[in-house]
Formats: sequence, structure tokens, C-alpha cells
Amino acid sequence: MEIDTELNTERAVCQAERVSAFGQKFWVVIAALWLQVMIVVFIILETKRRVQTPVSDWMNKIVYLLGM
Amino acid sequence: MIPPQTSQVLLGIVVVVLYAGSVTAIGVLSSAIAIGRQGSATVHTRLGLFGFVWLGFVMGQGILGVVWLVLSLAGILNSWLIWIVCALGWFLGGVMLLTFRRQAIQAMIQVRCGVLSFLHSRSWYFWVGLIVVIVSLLRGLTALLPPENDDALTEYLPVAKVIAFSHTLDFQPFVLANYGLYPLQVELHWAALFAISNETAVAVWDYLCALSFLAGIGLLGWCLTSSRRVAILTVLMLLSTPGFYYLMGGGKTGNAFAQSSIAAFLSLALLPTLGRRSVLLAGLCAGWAMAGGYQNVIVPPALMVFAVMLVHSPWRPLPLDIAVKPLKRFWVTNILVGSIAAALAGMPMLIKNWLLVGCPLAPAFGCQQMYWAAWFRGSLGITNLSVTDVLFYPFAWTFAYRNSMLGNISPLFLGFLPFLLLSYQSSLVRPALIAGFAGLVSMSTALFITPLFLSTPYFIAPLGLLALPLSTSVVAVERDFCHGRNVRWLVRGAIFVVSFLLLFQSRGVVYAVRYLASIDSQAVRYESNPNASSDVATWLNAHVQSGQRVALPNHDIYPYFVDPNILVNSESAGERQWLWEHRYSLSPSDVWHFYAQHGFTYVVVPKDRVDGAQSVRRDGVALNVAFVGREHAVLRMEKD
Repeated sequence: MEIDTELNTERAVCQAERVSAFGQKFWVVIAALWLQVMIVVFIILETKRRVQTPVSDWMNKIVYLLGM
Repeated sequence: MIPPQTSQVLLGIVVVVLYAGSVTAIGVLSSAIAIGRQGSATVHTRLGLFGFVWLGFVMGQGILGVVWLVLSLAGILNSWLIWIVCALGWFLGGVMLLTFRRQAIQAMIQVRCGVLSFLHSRSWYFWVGLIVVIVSLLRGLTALLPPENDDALTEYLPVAKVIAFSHTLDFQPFVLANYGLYPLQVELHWAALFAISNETAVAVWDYLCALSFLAGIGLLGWCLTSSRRVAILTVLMLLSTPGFYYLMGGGKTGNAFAQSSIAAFLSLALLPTLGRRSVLLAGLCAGWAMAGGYQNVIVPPALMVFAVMLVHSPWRPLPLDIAVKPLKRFWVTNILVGSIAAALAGMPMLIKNWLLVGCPLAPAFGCQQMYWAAWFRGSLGITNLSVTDVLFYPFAWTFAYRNSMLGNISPLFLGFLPFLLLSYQSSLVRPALIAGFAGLVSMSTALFITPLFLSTPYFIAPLGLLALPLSTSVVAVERDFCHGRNVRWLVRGAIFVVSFLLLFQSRGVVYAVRYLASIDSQAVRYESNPNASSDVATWLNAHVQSGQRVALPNHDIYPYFVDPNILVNSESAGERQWLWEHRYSLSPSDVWHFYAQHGFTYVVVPKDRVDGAQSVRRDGVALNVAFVGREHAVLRMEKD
């Protein structure tokens, strides 16, 4: 009886740890995706801003032609 | 045969290297004297040789800044005197190297071992570090180009150029009305470099200061977390901040005085082992930061929080070696030492104001009847943020474009924030949180003082402090979730995208190479700038003869382009004061009459006012158009 109780407790702890690890992993993936979004938005805005200024060099012209 | 422009650029680089060596030697010796032999050994142990030399470089800038201030106020900032100080620095450096050659060799071996172990670690951080080095080098090449930033050409550079020309620090009424009263710690180094070399030397020095700031923030990260990865990621965060990298070598003072701020925090980080001597160093550096820009008044509150957390917080990176009991006495003594050191470093700038206009705290306090004080009061109301911007401060700072903001911050600040929320309890992150809190205090103080105005170059040091816990959290998450391949690649991919964006943004290096090779000239570069009025300046420089005076009644034209001889003979402070006091009673003909009476030959006016000025004729004095540029025209006063 005592062994069963101990086993059940251990199982419950393992389950909780798995859930916790899964939860953490989930949030880490969300954080990584958030990082991607921030960078993509930044690059689009920064490039647009530079292209709006008088087109001054060939690299900007290419970026402009690519429609960014 | 090397073209003259190329040789000038190369000469500028050589002079900067010599100057930097001298500054470092003087600074290292001064730091060693200030903190003693035991203190130096402690700094050496905690920060390594590189950290000790870096602190010396910043200290040297502070000390020589004061020396140049004294010499320029005395009117003797001559090139030969600057060369003597530089030679003294090299002599001291040589003596120190000879005396401590064994320690220096050992330290070099340690540095070499550290670099080699990092190279062989096959960590992906090696590639991030490599990209940081490449981007820094590209930015260094870009710094060879003539400065093009508006503020640099209107205020920062002309002040330094005229000090070098006249060997004297004066009020300089021809720059933005109250500019001569601002702290000029950084500009005095530029003045010294203008005196012994040229604008390339100034721009490269500014670039070196920016690079030194990156080194300082990396050192602080390493000191708090003992992780090279944190140091590299923090440097990348700052290097990918447009408000920082566009001004590396751009002739603005922000990157230079940020070094002193970070040096204050790095010195204070040694408080648990170095005690009062670290407070002395921190106080001096904080004082020099404020002597570089009054906006650094946001640094001392952050330093206080940093010190309290270092001593009392369970997150502190080092155990306390010093006895902190009785606690009250410990804090009173340290605050006193820090305040006296900061006052010693900052006071010369107030004395300068007292000597120039009789009011140490001008233009903010005192001398309020002067025309430049009215100008300053007018500038206080300038805002560039709305209330909505303030509510979404980090987003506005990262993505929005606002006037005078001078660049956004890196997207990594917002991007790394969720990682901090996930890992703030990690043992690696906790010490870095102390720096993060200090950064928050600094930013909060700035928000309290000027809530609706944001200019990125003013906040480079707080940004560095905020970057530390953020970068540490990413390293911690990567360490703790190393088995999650998707996460790892998402994070690494994002960081590499930012790194490649940085490489892309450094494409201006093509123009730097063309400039270095004398394919593009300085004049051609400035002519392409529509607002620069360089055409008017070029005409004035070629046609104004010795003894002739030119009136520059507005500040639209960039004084940097105008010959210093013309600038120092333009309207005096007294003349500007008279014109300002009578501004409501004077008709245009009165103004021209005033100029004629005071011996002016030319007046520069906006192009749209040429017809009105020409129709005015009084006491036989007529104004004829001498030159018409893109934005401005030059009128010549002639007697009928």
C-alpha cells in the first residue's frame, strides 16, 4: 500500500514536471517567434524608410525594385 | 604619388593612433595612482589587462579633457603644446611597459589563450563575434568619410574647429546661441585633434570612442555574468541599434560620453572587492559623463541603485570582501567620496561658464536677460513624442520615426524581452538584472525630466544597461533548452538575420573607399546635400578678404563649412544682444544700417528675402547681390 502511494506520488510529480517542461517549451517557442516578428517588422520599416529618402545608391535601387 | 586627400586621411588615422596611445598611457598611470597598487592588482584580476587598459583609456580622456579646457581658456591650446602632452604620454607608456613587462607578457599570453580557446570552442557565438568584428571594421572605414550629420555640422564640429583655429575657448556666438555654455568635454578632444591634424582624425577618434563604448559594455557584461557569450550578444544588441551605429564617427558626442557612463558602472561593479576606491573611480567617470553632456544627470540615480543592489541584493555577482558595518557609515562615506569625485570632474565646465558669461549654471539658471537664455527657454518646449508614443514607448522607439530621434533602437531589445520573462530566476540572469534595474532607473529619470522628448544618442548608456539582462536571458534559455532544436534555430536564425542586416547597412563603405582613394572629394559629397548651404560657404571662403566682416544673422547655414577666420569676425555676442533687445523696434533698414555702421561688408540671408533686402536703402548704403546659392544668398553692402 505504501509502495503504491509512493509510486503514485512520483508519477504525479513526473507528470507535473512534464506539463511544466511542456509549458516552458511552448512559451520559449512563442518567445522565439515573437523575436522573429520583431525583426521582420523592423527590417521592413527600416528599409522602407531608407528607400523613401532620395534613392542614392545602387543597393537602394535594387531594394526599391524588389518592392520592399 | 599619393593624392593629397588620401595622404590627409592616412595622416589623420596615424595621428589618432598616436593620440589614443598617449591618452591610454596617461589614463592608466592616473588610475593606478588613484586606486593604489593593491587596487590596480584587484582591477587587473577582476577585469583582466584589457579591462584595466580600457578603464585607463576612459580615465585618460577625462584628465586630458580638463587639461585641454584649462589650456583653451588660457588661450594657449597650441599644436606644439598638444604634441608635448602626447609625447609625455608615450614616454610614460614606454616606462610603464618596461617596468611591468613581465606582467604585460603574461597578460598577453592569457589574452591569446582566451582568444584561441574561443576560436576552438566551435560555438555559434564565435560566428556572431566574427560578424561583430567585421561590422565594426566596416563602420571604421565609413568613419573616414566627412561628417554629414546636421547637428555635427551646425554645432559640435564648428565649436571644436574654431577652438583649434583660435587656440581659445570663447563664447562663440556664431554657433547655436547657447551652445558654448554646454559641457564641452568631448569637443575639447576634437579641438586638440583639429589643432594637430584634420577632420579625419576627429571622425576616427569619435569612431574609436564608440568602439570603446562597445568594449565597455561587453566588459560590464562579462564582469557581472562571467560569460563571454553574454558580452558578445550585448555588443551585438548595441551595434544593431541604428541610433548608435549611424553615429559611429558621425561627429556627435553621444557615443563618446556614453563610455564614461559605462566606465562608472564598471568601476562600481568592483565595489564588493575594491571598496571606496571603486566609488572614487565611479564618481570621476560619472562627473566626466556629465561634463560631456548635462543629459547624463540621469546617470547618478542609476549608479545609486546599482551600488545598493550590489551590496544588499542576493543577486550580486561577487561575495562582499569589504566590511559593510556599520552600514550607515559605509554609505555616508561612499556617497561623500563619490559626490566629491563627481564634483571634481564636472566642476571645470561650470567654472568655464562662469569665466565666459559670469553664470556657472547658464543657460538654464542665471543671466536670464541675455539673448541666448531666451533662445534656451524657447528650446525647452521642443517635443517629438505624443502621449500615445509614451504609452507605447518601447514600440515607438523601435519602429516609429520621429523628428530629432536620430535613429531607432535594435529590434533585439523588444525581441529578447519574453526570454527575460521566462528566465529571470536563472542564476546566470540574476546578476545582470542589477544592471537592468539601473538602466530602468536611468530611463525613468529621463522620462521624468523630459517625458515628451526622445533622442537615442542621449540614452546609449542606459540602453547598454538594459541590454545586459536581455542578452543574458537568451544565453540562459539557450543553455537550459539546448535540446529544443526548433527554438535554438529560431533564435539563432533571428540573430543571424540581424547580423546580415548590419552588414547590409554598412554598404556605405564603398563611398569610404572611393573617398580614401580620392575618387570622390569632400566638396562633391557636401554639394549633394541640399540643406547644407555649402555653396555659400565656399563662395565666402574664396571671396572674403582679410579684415572684412560677414553677418550671419541666422543659424541655418552650417558654420562648419565657413572659414573660422570669417566666423570669429562675424557678429559678436554684444552685437547680437543689441539686435535682440531692439528686435521689435528695428525696421529692416535699421538692421542694415546697424551692420554697415559696425563694419560689415557682407550679409548672408535666405534666398526668398533677397528682393526685400535690395529695396532697402539708407544713408547712402545699398545692398547688392553678390552671390545666390541654392538656399541662401550673399549681399554686399556698398556706399553710393
